[in-house]
Amino acid sequence: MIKALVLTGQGINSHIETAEAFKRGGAEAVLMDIEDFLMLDSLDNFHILAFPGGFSFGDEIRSGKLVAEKIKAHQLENIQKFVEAKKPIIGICNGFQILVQLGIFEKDERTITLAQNNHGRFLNLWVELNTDSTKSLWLKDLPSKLKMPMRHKEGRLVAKSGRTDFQTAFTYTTDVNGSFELTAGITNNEGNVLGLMPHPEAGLTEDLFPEDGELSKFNQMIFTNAVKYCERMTL
Amino acid sequence: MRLNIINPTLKTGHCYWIENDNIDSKSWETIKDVLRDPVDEFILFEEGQIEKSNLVEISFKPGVTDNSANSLKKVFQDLIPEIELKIATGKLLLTEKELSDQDLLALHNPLIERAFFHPSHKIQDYIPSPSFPEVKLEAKPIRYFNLEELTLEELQTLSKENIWAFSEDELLHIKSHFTSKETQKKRSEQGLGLEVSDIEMEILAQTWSEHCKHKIFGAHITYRETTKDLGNFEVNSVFKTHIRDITDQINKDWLISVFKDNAGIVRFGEKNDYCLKVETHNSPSALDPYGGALTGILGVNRDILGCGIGAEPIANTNVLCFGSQKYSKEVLDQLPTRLKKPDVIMKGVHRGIEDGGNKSGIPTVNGAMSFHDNYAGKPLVYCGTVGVLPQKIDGIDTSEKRHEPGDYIIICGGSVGADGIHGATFSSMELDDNSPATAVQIGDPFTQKRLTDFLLIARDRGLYRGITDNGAGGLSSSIGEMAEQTMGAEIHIEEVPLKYPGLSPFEIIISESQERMSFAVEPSKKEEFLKLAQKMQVNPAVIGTFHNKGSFDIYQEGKLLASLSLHFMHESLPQMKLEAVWEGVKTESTWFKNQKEESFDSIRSCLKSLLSNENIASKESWVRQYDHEVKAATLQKPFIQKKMTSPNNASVLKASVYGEEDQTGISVGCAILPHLSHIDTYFMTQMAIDETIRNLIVVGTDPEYIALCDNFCWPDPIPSKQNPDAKHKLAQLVRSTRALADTALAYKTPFISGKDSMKNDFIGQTPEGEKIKISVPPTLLITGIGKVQDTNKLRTPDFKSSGDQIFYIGPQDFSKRYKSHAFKDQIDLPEFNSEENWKVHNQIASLLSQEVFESIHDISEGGLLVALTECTFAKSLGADINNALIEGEDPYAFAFNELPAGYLVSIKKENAHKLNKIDKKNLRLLGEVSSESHIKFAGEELGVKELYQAWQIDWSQND
Repeated sequence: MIKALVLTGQGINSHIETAEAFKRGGAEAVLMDIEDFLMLDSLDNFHILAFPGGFSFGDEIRSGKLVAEKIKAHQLENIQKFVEAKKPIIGICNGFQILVQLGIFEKDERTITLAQNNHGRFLNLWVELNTDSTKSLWLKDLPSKLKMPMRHKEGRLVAKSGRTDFQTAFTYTTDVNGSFELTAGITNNEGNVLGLMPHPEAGLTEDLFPEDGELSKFNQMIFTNAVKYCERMTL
Repeated sequence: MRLNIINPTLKTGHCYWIENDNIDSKSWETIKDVLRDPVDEFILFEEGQIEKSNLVEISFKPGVTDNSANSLKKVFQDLIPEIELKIATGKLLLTEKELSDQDLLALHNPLIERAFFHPSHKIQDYIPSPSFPEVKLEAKPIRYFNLEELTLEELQTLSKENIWAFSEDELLHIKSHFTSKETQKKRSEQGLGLEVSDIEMEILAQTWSEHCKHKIFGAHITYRETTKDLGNFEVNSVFKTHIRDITDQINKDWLISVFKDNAGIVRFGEKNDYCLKVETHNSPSALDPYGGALTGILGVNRDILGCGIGAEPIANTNVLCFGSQKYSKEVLDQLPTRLKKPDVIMKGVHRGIEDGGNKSGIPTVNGAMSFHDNYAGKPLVYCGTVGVLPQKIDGIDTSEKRHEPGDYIIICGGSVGADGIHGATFSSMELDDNSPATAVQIGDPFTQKRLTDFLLIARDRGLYRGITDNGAGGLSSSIGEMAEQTMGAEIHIEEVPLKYPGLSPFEIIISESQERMSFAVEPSKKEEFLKLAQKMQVNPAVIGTFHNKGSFDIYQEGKLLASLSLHFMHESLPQMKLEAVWEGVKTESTWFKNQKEESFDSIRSCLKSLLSNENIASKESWVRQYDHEVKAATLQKPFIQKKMTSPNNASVLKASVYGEEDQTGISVGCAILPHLSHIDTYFMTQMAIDETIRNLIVVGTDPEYIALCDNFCWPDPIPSKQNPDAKHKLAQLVRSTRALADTALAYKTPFISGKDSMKNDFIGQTPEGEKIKISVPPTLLITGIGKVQDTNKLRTPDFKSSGDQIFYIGPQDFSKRYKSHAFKDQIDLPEFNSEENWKVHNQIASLLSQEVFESIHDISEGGLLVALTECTFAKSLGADINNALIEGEDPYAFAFNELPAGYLVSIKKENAHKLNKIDKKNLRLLGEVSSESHIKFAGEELGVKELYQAWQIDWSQND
């Protein structure tokens, strides 16, 4: 069975619904405290790595920064091996912030960061997203539009120069936070690392959608895609 | 060393004080890499300059919780373990403007922060480190009081000086206890002197504070009235008579634990029980709006964590009462010197609620805001939490605490500092210009989140068998109360982890430092408990044991410092005797009258003025800053957002997320109606209960499964020179609790939890030196929790399609204009017929379960037309109700009366016959939903967009 490692602890708070998304997608979801994760000798037992949303270390200094520093000190090499092996990694909201602070998307020095929204406020709002299903294993067969809630204060993507380090995975259809080119989520050039600010795991079923609609089934597909991809890889 | 990090785009920055003499250059680089983002920040002077900007620096005063520094320390311990760093943080603001001291005051809270202005031309040579904020305290020696010699006057002076807030009777009671032969004999046997220590006095002050003991709700009250209404009567504790006994009488089989634990527990699930608790945190929020509200939320979360054997908080609610935000310059000119501006309080409180919920991963699902000039002295900050508790863990019932003599007392979470000393006694006094800053604490949601993660794991592994939170009164209150179960406890204060040295023994015992829980751990589980706690970094400390000697004992280094009989602490206090005199309707007097009296000459102008009334206007811009759907269980969210935004009535949580295997849901709703209080608190209470029930019914709640929580915030009802109309205020309280009893019985809906805060008065001086008292209107918040049998049948309030028929369901009386938001000066009240209302609520619930309606909304503040307008927003549909009026009817009374048990529904024409079970007098066809975006009523045509704009008021207009 495909094993998805879902991190928790230290202020992460969306791990239950993120684990649920992988379970519904056909994987076994293993919840693990970040402190235990840092001590792992290898990540070989896992096929998928997920950084859920939350407020790790209370979002102090800058969201995601402090967990990223701890990972850099203890677990960076294994994560790099995970990325190179083209295994799927997802970071949602605070998880995306952690990935960005890790520098996982760039080859060399950091060129992107996530900063405070241009209006300075936390915002919980269902947003419409454009996506391109060809960019990543996570996005396979998705329609061009999705709906899910954003719930963040620091989700404005800032890109220093050029954009050779990453590909756009999701864009907002309206400007909700001043993000670079309306970006809501990105993948690395290989497409196996996905980071996004809005929360697909918060809208897995139709009853959680604020209105009826067919779009409700597609948020689940993001997670199912990764599980199916791993199943194909391990065949 | 000091680092200044600048973010030039946001025009903000951070500054860090980092102290250690031996930081090598490699570690220094590590530190810099952590603190500065390489993409959009630079280190001032080292990597960049700010040319034209002035710099404002704001940092904490010594001893104030610095959450950033605490988080940083944890990470640096990991990254550079060989160096122990001292860290303090501050924030920087870049500004082009020259700021005066007055401007700086608007940017920081001088109670807890210090601010400096560095003009641009001086930045180069500015030496920006005034000092590392360090607490330097010297422990005061224990003081002893010879009660035999001290006179009552001397005792009263001591009580005031030490913020003990003892009444005269209580002082005499203490004196007679400690000077009795029996006590003196016992004390000499224990090796304690005959004099009483400050530790003992302080513990009693906390235990007997109005905040902890609820003496007014327990008092014997003689109620008389000058106008004939309820008749004269005596009541032996309004809590017992009007609340607890009524719940017993209603006797629902789903009541698991009521009025004895930290929260009420109900059985609304097959596998789980649910808990509800609502607290207030008013006085601290007046002094430090952000810290006060944040601690309020975290505190009520801990009530849930400490409920039964430990429940998980799954949803927060908040109801906030502020002074009007539309204040004039005259208000500012007369605002008492120590008071913060109403908008400063509102913004700070809101940010505290935001961080408290968001950073804890608990969705904020329901709430309200209420505005009244008389909240300018003390804002009311109601924080509520719903928790989920598995009915059994390993076959053991979870609703009871089971600790026994011999169990260890272990505390986990934050350390103890001087913050929050005297919170309980202080909130039991009116605020004045000299209220102590130490009464304010800043919560740390991150520490509490980790504590929560730990607690739930320890609970599921059965590592402890008793738990409570440390809130008001600190250890004296939490351990003092837990000790009642075993009949005794001892604490060794040298084992209590401290933030800094220099605290006196009594301060350690009563400090309300936050994020701490107390556990009772049986000896065989101690090692495993401590191992897990250490691994999860929650700072455990074994501070004592429970015993059964009948006393609460405080030791230091093996020496007994203080000992109090539990019976004396908890059972001996004589009942207060009070008189209440109801003098009928009073005209409302506000400390400052808002001059703008509105008049309207058309339905349009009246409706628009109501929509932009602060109590009715959209709160969306505030509420969207709360995460309302983390945990992915929030089925009914605060707003329905399609083309525009319609407000929702109550929230519904999906029970299957918490392990239920069916389609049930848990609903949460509330109501607060202080504008009715000066006319009659009896009616106010009836209406608040009715509106809460309506809010729950419209989201599909089964009326047989509703439990309520009462939260009273009253102006002081104890007579004194400063308080001449106390008897009337007490009568208002008695009328309110009596209505609570009568209505709960009629609706067969029990109360399961509640709290009262009885000193919501501010006494101070205007800038001109005039003495002024600002008392809140008598305010009652009703919060309800209910069971939704089938969440697939949920309906929202927004109109769905044109052609649907619109009905008003509920008792209707448009014969005259009644007191309401539109008719402010009226004093007449409509009839409240409990039996009739309850019938309507049940009929609505039954029709909802048959999925008859397209939309349903409750009619409350603003009346029918406001409710109807709110239904049009989401889909930008209109309504034609031109034929709703019967000839001769007053269209204003029809549109704007606020009546009990009122519902507004839309229904497919072909289903309209299904309403025929409703009494004709309770049913009126108003018209139909139209595709044109207009509301047509009484010959006027009102554009939905125009009304929407009126509803979206600009909350920052006083900036």
